[in-house]
Amino acid sequence: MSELLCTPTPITTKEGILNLLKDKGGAQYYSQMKEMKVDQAALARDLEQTCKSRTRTWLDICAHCAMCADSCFFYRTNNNDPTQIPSYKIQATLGELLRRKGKVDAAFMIKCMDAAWGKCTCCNRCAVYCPHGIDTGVMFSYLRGILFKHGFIPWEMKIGSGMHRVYGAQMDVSEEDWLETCEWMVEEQQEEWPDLEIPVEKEHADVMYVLNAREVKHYPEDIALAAILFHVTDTNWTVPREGWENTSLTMFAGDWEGCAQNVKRIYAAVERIKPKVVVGTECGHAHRATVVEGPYWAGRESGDPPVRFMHYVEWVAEMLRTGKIKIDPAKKIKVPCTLQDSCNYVRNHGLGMATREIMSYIAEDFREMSPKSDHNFCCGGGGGLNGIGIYRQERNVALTNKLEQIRATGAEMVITPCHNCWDAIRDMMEVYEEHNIKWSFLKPLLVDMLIIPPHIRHIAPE
Amino acid sequence: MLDFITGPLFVISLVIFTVGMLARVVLYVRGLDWRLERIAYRYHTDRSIPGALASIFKWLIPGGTDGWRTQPVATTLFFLLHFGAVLVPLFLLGHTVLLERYVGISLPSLPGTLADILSVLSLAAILLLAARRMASPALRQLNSRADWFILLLTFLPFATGLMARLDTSAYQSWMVLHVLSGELFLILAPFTKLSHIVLFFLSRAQIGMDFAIKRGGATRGGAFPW
Amino acid sequence: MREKHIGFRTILTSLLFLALGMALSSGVAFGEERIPFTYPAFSAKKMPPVFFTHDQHIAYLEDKGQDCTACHQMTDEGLSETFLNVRNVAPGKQMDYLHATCTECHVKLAKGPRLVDCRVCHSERIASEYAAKK
Repeated sequence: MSELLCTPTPITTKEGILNLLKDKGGAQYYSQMKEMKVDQAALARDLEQTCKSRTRTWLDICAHCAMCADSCFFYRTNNNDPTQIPSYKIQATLGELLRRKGKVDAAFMIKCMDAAWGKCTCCNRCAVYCPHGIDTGVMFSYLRGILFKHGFIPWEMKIGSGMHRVYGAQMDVSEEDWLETCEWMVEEQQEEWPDLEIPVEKEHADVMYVLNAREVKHYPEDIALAAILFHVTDTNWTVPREGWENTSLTMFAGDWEGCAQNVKRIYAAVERIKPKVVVGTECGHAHRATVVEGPYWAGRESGDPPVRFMHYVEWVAEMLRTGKIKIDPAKKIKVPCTLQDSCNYVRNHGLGMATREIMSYIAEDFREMSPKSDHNFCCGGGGGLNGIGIYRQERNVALTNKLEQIRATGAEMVITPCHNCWDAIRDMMEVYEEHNIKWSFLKPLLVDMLIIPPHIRHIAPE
Repeated sequence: MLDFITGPLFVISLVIFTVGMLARVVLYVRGLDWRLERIAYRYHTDRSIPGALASIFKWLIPGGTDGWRTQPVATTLFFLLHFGAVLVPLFLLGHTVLLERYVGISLPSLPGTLADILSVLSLAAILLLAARRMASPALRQLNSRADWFILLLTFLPFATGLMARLDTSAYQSWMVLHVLSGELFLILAPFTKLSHIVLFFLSRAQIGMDFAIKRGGATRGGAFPW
Repeated sequence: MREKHIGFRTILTSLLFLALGMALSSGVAFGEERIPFTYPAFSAKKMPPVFFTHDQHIAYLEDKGQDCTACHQMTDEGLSETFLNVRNVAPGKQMDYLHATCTECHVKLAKGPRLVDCRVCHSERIASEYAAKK
């Protein structure tokens, strides 16, 4: 008896997640998707209600001039395949969907899915190169929302959205798991940092720290490193009991309802704890989902979050600028190194200055990629693409663009303050057997190279 | 017949053009939705207005943006076409005389030689853009009827106007065709991709506001570096 | 999205042939005596000066039973040599006055060049022919 795994209904139960996880690689899920009926009336209504003048004008006045072609790393890495031009990709999917007023079949919806997740990471670089200011990334993000509503989304995205809805985190980390991990990390560090703590739900703390569930589940030492950096800077900080996770696979999945739930959980923690500022971990999409798009999902008309939110790189830059973190000159990065600009907080939130300020403190031989900052290319695995099995081959091809960019700098180290970029860069080095280039988040580097202030008790390990 | 196409039909074309374009503007602005687009249009005007202006004006300058600089050939053709397509219809001496007589608007006029040069360059740019559409694999993938149609709509007034300019014995026939093709352009502009005559400005302003209000305007320190 | 654009190219070609056909059928012979428009003396020379088909206009008016006063006002010094009231028009408005008065008559009688036909009156060819004669 095969269960119905692929439906338009979002996953809201643990059983639902488990059933999907049992279906290895989503084989059954995708075969059911091919048979799924498209609710054409509902689709037509959704398009009518949510696709307004901005998007329709974009599709309407696109001059098909192909200026966007070269801005897209998919086009570049697929030997200038004309079907990879952003304009073509969106016209052949969303454009066609609108022209047909939703009268499409499952095969067409699957074609849309393949383009929305397998041929676009919503990096928004094409928007910077279109004379008419057409943002194809924004349109693909919109298309993801439509596809989510009608059930045509990659298996991993369905699971991710379910995780957020069930656990309030992108992975099955319960509140208990989270708090235990914090305690465990403090214990682990006790010998080296006797006064280290991770204060939970401390009202009126200056800083409330939010992070990525992956750090809790797979890289708990990252939490310890964050704690050490708050500790040595004498930061009055805390983590919330609930609303600690700021990533949003729901955003990648096009699950706008789930996005709202996530961000409201975090804003509720702000309400409870009343911090002066919220600092989010080294993650790109988490920042975008919580700080850039989040306020709108939470219904905030001004578009601003309820309190100042800082990306980790902004906080680090401030700590270096104010001398709270002092770098040991002898321990600066000596090898040539470069910096990966995360689309989600650089092009889409203007923080390229902060990362460069950090580089000026920690690197002796910093080399810019070309193009850089607001114009930089996506790592090749953004927008959820890293995690989607059926598009692994597409992703691996796309990675070569960034690999060439990195190699051209001659760098032996890539600073990657973003989980998705970090994964993509790790994978490209492995897939293309590049063994001479390392990559790293900021936290481990900073902890290694900082000068520990005299008043902080520290017992160097043997 | 001649008096109809140069009189009432001309006025009708101008009215359709103006009302149609205004309608496109109104419908565009009314269709913006801060929730759906997730842009607080009414807030942060201190940065949204400079953002919108930078987004428009940087793209009006040849080579003013990274996009223009990375595609020098296409950029040159676009600008050659648009210099003529904007300046000649508005400021050619013959046009300003007619405009003053029929509409009462008095505009300065271009020197004749400059108008000739601009028109020839525009026409050449149209032909080269058409050649680019046929030759480039990327363009061939994108081409649609609508793209060819607006190239044709733009080609006709320039071609007939220049034929008339040659002042052959067929002068008056070319002039009739020129007036008709110009009117066809005016009448169809609001309903075709030529609506970018106004929508370019709105679309650019919108994306400029998007980046200024939401996507980094507060942290980037200035407008988006297009 | 790749489609036959042959349709448009065919239309374009036919339009051009149509234009050529119309052009060939409307050849007009100029041969009559012309007199230059000397007042007002436009200094800008943006367009070739007008050489006016005076004889042709006289013939037409006589045919209709009209005389010189259709275009020339009677003054104390006799018949004005200039066109209608142009001398009393402000200098900045004289060109507009001439354009308007000439073409209004043409429109009324459905004969002769209209305001759009710039180069029928402002003809480079005729202007250079007359310049050569001098």
